[in-house]
Amino acid sequence: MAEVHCFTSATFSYLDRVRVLGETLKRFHPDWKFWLCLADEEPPGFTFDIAREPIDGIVRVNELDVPDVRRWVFNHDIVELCTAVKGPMLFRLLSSGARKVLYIDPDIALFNDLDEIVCLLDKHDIILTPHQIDPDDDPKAILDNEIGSLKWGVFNLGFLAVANRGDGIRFAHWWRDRLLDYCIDDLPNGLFTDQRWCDHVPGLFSNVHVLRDPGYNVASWNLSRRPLTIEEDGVIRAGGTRLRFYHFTKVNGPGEVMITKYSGGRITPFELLKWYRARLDANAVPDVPDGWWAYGTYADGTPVPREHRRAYRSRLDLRRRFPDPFASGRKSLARHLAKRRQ
Amino acid sequence: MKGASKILRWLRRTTKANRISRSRIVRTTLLGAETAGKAVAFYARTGHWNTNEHNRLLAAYRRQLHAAVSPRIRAKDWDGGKNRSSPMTGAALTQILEPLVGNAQGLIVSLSHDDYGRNYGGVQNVIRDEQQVFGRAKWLYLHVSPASPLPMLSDPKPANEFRVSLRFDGNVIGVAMIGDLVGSLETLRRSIFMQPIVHHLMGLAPELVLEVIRATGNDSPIAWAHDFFSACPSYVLMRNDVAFCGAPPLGSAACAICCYGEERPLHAARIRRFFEAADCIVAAPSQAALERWRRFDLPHREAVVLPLARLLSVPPTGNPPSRDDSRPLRVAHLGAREFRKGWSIFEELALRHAGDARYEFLQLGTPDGPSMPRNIRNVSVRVDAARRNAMIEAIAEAQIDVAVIWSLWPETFCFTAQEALAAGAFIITNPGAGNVWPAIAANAPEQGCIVNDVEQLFAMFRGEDLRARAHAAPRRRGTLLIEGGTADWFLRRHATESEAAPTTAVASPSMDGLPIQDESVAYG
Repeated sequence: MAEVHCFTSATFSYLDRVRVLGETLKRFHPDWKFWLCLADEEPPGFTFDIAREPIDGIVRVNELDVPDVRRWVFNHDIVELCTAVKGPMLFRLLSSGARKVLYIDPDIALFNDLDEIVCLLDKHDIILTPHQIDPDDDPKAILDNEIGSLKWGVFNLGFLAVANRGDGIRFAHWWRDRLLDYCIDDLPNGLFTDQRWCDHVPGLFSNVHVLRDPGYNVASWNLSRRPLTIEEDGVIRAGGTRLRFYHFTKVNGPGEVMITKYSGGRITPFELLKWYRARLDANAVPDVPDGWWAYGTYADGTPVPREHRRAYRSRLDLRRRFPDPFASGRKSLARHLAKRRQ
Repeated sequence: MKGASKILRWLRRTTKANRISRSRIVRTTLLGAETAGKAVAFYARTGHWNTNEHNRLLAAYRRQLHAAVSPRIRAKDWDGGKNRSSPMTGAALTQILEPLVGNAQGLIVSLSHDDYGRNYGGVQNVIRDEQQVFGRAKWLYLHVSPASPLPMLSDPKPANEFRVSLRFDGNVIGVAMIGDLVGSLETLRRSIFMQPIVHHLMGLAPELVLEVIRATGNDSPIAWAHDFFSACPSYVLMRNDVAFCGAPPLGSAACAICCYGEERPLHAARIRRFFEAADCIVAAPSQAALERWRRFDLPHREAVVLPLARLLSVPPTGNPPSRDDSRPLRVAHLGAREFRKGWSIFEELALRHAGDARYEFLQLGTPDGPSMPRNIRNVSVRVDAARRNAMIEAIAEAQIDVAVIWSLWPETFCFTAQEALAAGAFIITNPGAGNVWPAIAANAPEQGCIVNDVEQLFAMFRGEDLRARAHAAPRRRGTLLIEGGTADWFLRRHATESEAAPTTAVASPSMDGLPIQDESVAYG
């Protein structure tokens, strides 16, 4: 068995990103086993051939040993589900004997090796990367970045590394349990998917390493304090140290606006962005319809509104009455909730 | 009146609903009006709306980045430059060349990226100049260029499928297959000494250039480093056309995100095999260029620096031109509005000082290219074969005080720096501009200054010292003595070698021992 297992979670609409992550990961770590935890099902007419992907293994959501999985899936919107599966998937990999497991978000690309992480896992059980490692001083940046992290979580869960021992195992248990029950986006109640939960990690577990190297998990939310530069040695640096990976959050929308805001007038972040978009184009999946998510609609193709998911999640009577929440037709949850709304 | 009462009602509603004071709304409105007024005034002066100094230059860089594409994609746009003439046969070519050989001293076989008789630029000028000098010394000059110019190396092709344009002593001969040219040269070399000079490999297949060199029977080809094409298809080493990269190690992260990165490994491997096989004498137009080229660690027999021109000071013929303190300091960008020549930096400088009575901004060069701010005046200058001093004259005539030569890549020679010096302008440059500062330092160190970065450049213009500094510099006048490219140096060397060993004037059969191209590369 490979010593290091790395997984990401995504739907088919993010397959281009998964491929870019896969190709950059394989460039530096061809010996790692790269898994995709798939929170989706194939659209009609599309065949997913893993042999042609930079992916070594795939685990579908219904293979995660989640009780009553179909209803559990229904309880989550796309972001919530893609993050909720991370807990059970981590647990599964550790249970199967993987010694070191990394989670990396699909919208991340590697620019250098992660050997240091592998070494750190010899000493530490859990490694987390904070959104910020250096205080901002500009009021706008404080609002966007530091206060943003107070809302969405101190650590960015686009990256996580866990060793298969001691607190690594205890963490995986705890995180899986919490994500099975509470992986939702509910900021007023202090919840934000899988991420807010990890604010507890340094308190609940020992042997946690907070990775404060500015080269890891660079993104628009910390670019203000980690200027990207490239010298004649061809090394891309963030805040003066080697860029390991960049998190291309929402590259086709607010992500670019935030990069513009915090690029410090430097062109390098935009070079990365242009490159990333070109790689996405090269890895596009034309057979997957735009915005495809198998669990995004009822059986008749009607989109599932978020409030239906919330209602089903919170009300036992609905769960009892409608065992298949995705069904459509006369005696379906969809019809019932639609009528109530009228 | 109806409109006014509507606005008042809206104002009342808004202030009440949002719990904000009316005075705050009025203040905000006035502030907005003031900002808008400033923007309109800025537009009137410059033709630009963007008053934000912080993002304007970045926007220019982003436009340049957006336009950057891989050379393979750009090659599709070069199709129009193709010479579509039908190729002549090998026999016809030999028939044309053989009688021309006559009693000449020798035949220069020169190769470059395009037809120097049809195109104008630095390398083309050098070829034109050296052809004339060789001609005066009774040397014949055969120029070979790809019939389909490309912004990269040509993919490997068989010799009987690669078309080249030929020019003999400046006159068009036509198009031939490079294989037929090789055959003709092999025939001719029995009767005349041939010297290959490779000015540029762009658009050519280096494997086929090696065949041409072999055919000349000369084992001392000369290869020019006019730029840094030896290291990368981006011959100015500009990553994504926006930042100097210095040719980082192959496989570096910088190459991985660069639009030239995909082509570079094979490009570098083919160039390396060329230099390994050809054992060239490398000629560079400056010591700075040669030092940079040497970093690529390519094998070569020897290296020489052959400056393209020499600056000659002209003795003063009267009182030096007076400095007029009453007029604005005239600040110029010399040459085309090209990003890599620092045009965007100059443009930003002008925009920052729109309405600043201390400065007047000019562009001396062709009036084409991107539109420019209204507060930059174009003085149309075209330096060509007939008007080699046109830039010097224009700088002097426009009474340019300061030339900002802010090249973003290490210029290998930089005619404009020499021209600015010859015209007596004070030069401001940066440490990364290659031969610009060495040229100033060697000729008139007090006539220029080196500024570390763009922020320092902007600070210099914000400050009050520039006028005094520019005026304190001696306003020398001079002229440029154009050197004959490879010709003068080669003729001297050849004469010495001929005296030492007269038989070298005849083709050496030892060249047959030159390594033959790797078949898998040539046709793979």
